[in-house]
Amino acid sequence: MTEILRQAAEMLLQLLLSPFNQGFWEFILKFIPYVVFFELPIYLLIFAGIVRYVLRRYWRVPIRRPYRPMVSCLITCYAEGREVACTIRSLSEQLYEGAIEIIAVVDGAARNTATLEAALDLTDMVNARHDRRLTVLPKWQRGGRVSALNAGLNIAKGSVVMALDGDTSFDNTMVACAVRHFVDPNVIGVAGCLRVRNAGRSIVTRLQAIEYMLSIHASKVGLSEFNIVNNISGAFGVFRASFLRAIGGWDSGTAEDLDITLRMKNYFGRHPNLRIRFEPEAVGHTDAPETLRDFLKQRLRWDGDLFYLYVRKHSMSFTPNLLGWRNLIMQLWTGMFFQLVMPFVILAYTLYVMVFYPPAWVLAVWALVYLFYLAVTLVFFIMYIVFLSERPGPDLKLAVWLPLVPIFTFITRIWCGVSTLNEGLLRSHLDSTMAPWWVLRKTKY
Amino acid sequence: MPFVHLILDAEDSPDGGGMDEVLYPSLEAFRSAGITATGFMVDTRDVQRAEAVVRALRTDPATYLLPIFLSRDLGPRLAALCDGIPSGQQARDDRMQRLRHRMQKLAPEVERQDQDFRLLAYLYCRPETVLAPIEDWQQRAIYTYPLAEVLADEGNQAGPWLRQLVERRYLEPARLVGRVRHCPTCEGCHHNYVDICPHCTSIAIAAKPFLHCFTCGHVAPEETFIKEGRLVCPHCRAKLRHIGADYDRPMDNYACQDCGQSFVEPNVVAQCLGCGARNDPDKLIPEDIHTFQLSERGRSAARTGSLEDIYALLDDLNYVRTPYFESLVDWLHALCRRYDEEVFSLLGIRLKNIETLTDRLGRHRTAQLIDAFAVRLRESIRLTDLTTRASKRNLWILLPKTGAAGRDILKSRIVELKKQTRQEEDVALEFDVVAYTAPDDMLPDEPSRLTMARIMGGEAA
Repeated sequence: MTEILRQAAEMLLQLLLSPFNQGFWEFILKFIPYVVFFELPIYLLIFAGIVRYVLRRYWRVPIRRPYRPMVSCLITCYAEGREVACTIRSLSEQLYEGAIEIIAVVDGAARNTATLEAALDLTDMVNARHDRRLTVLPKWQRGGRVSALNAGLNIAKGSVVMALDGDTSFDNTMVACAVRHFVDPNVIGVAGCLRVRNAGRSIVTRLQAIEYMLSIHASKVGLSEFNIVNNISGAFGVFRASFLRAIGGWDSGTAEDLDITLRMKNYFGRHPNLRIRFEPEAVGHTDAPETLRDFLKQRLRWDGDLFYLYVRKHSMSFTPNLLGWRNLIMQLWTGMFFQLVMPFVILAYTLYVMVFYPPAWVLAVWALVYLFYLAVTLVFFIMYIVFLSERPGPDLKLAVWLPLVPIFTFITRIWCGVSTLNEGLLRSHLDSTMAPWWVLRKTKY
Repeated sequence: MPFVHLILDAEDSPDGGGMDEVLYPSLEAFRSAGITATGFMVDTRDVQRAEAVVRALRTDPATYLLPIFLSRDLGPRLAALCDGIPSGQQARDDRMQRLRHRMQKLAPEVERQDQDFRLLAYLYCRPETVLAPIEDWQQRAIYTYPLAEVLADEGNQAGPWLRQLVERRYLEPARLVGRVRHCPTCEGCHHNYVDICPHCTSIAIAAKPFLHCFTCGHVAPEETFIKEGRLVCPHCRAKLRHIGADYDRPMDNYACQDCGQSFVEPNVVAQCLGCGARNDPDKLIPEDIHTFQLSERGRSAARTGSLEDIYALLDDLNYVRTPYFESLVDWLHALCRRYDEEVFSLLGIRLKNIETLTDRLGRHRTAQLIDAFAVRLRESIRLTDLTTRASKRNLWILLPKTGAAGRDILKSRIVELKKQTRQEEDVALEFDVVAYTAPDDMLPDEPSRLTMARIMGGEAA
């Protein structure tokens, strides 16, 4: 065993020190194709987007526009209990100068009385504040997230509608930062920036916190510059109410967030001026799963829903007439290929290396792959801390966990494959916690 | 004797009617006809006209007790003065029959001039009726008793009168229906509650939210934190982004716009809308509002015509209630035990022959006799002397700072009064006078109740 390790280390050292010998190139040719041709361009694109964003922000002339539309915040609550009070309170605390209507839709209120009461208790406190109004909408019969959102949209009066989770709370500048985009009539949606609230709880939450910073925060900043934001998160999405109503609100089934993002993007082909932006300064804090088991369960659902949505429900959306070329390519590339195909490629490749190369080789390859991803992670992390983080101090403290990130990402990728198989073979989306089975079984896909 | 319909809305003189029913277009028309009615039906849509007519009938000693019906609902005030809206001829006749039956039981020598008796008789004839207050925000007292107001002598206030009848136990409270608070200055019940600055009493106060910065512990008004659309701690420059994580709202303070002081809780004052006085809400005088009904004693008074309370005529001489009187005597006893120079006396008067007098002279003259006696007695006692009536016929006079000598002078003067009450029929007010002086007659540790019982049972003048 130590012999194998020693050999692997030797080989790795050799590869790194004398990069032009024959074995290296033989190896690189097996390793390079998918990395360079598939992942690296995306990294470069995101990198370019971030640079563009930073420069734009630097040269931006600060303008205070007299644009203060009424904002309706739909909070979908289920069994959050007292935690929903934190969400409502953080919304009533917004420094936004316009009116904010907070609509707490309690799904299955007949059973979730603790949540309902927690929301009702705050009514007086919120309504006492200027231009803040809390409406608690008890949906007695449980109908799932989609029905809660559509019920809220029904009574929302604001021209900007936010779809928010009951376990997510927000910085007090969130509404002001998110709403300012809508002064541009072409903006139909804004994705908010989510941070992990319970980062300090376990290694799993710390690693997720880093993942949120890099693969959500940093990468969406980059994607937003090119109008190719991949998803408006269900926990924190901001929409132009008129557009949302025009496309009929949310559609039944799971992964309603990705569904509505895709349905909005389906107008990009015909209306190239429409925009979906990401606002890094609109910050929400959410709870991430604290144990590996819960984390994997969550991802099983998320990644399984990707297959359900891309393959079963939205396969007809993948045409330039609907998405436009730019988003079609990105969606195929980062959505279909990265999420659905890549996990199997990685798995196949790993097995291939393990079968056909000696163990020392395998370890060396893994070490090299690890170092490559660590380098990419480091570059993004530094860029994130320097240019993007609005809490650089606490964020920097997570740097010690960076060496674990490539491993974590690898596990996530492999698990993504499992989830895809699970959905593809077992139709797991019909067994989601997001809506009761009697609702899900009626969906068409 | 016919039943009278007063059809007030008719444009022409109404005609019709029959043997025992007659129609009149107005009260004046009925009065000028000079007939005696068995009851009235007031038929009008006009509340004010109806009220004027009903009031006139209820204040007239000849008609105050008679049944008055309404043809339609004209509001609670009129309903309280009338005998309802009969559903038909039969219901009306039944009601009148019952009323007549009760009226026959009233004492024959009913003194209709007397407001007390008028009210008692009215309630006696209508055993199901309670004297209910009507809530009316336009009234100064908020709750008024329309029936009592109508039956009271002119210029007499219904409220104090009813309280007095309750004290004399003719009426008893039936149900608690409300509570009002009176201004200590003007007794008005209408108040506006305003929150004011506790320092300068200005009403120009505003709530001012405070923030607490977790980073440095700075607590200051929210406005000092706002900088370019964000919250920044003015003390440590920390950015406050998230409630509960970076900052909190420890309290809502108030600031006075006039004197600039800040305070946690404003004072609340009750501003009287009658006299404008600002009172502490705790200083307002609460009053319970009840409905009243006739007590057993009241029923018997209505039936016998005797208000029994001829003795009560004695009650307006520096009168205090008996328990209070007794506790005063206890207190004076305690003073006597502690200080040698302290001295006081008691005189007890026991009236002996009120019943005989009432038989011989009638109630009215007996009352006059007692009244004359009370007037003379009042001339004899000093301003500092107190009286109480411990039972129906026992009257007590407390003479502070008075020794046996002074006491005996007063005693002989009172005995002298006997002669002056002698009447033509050769009857006079008969009474005994007993005397007591502390500390001479004092027994150790004897409570005043026992002292008074002991001496009243003992010697007599």
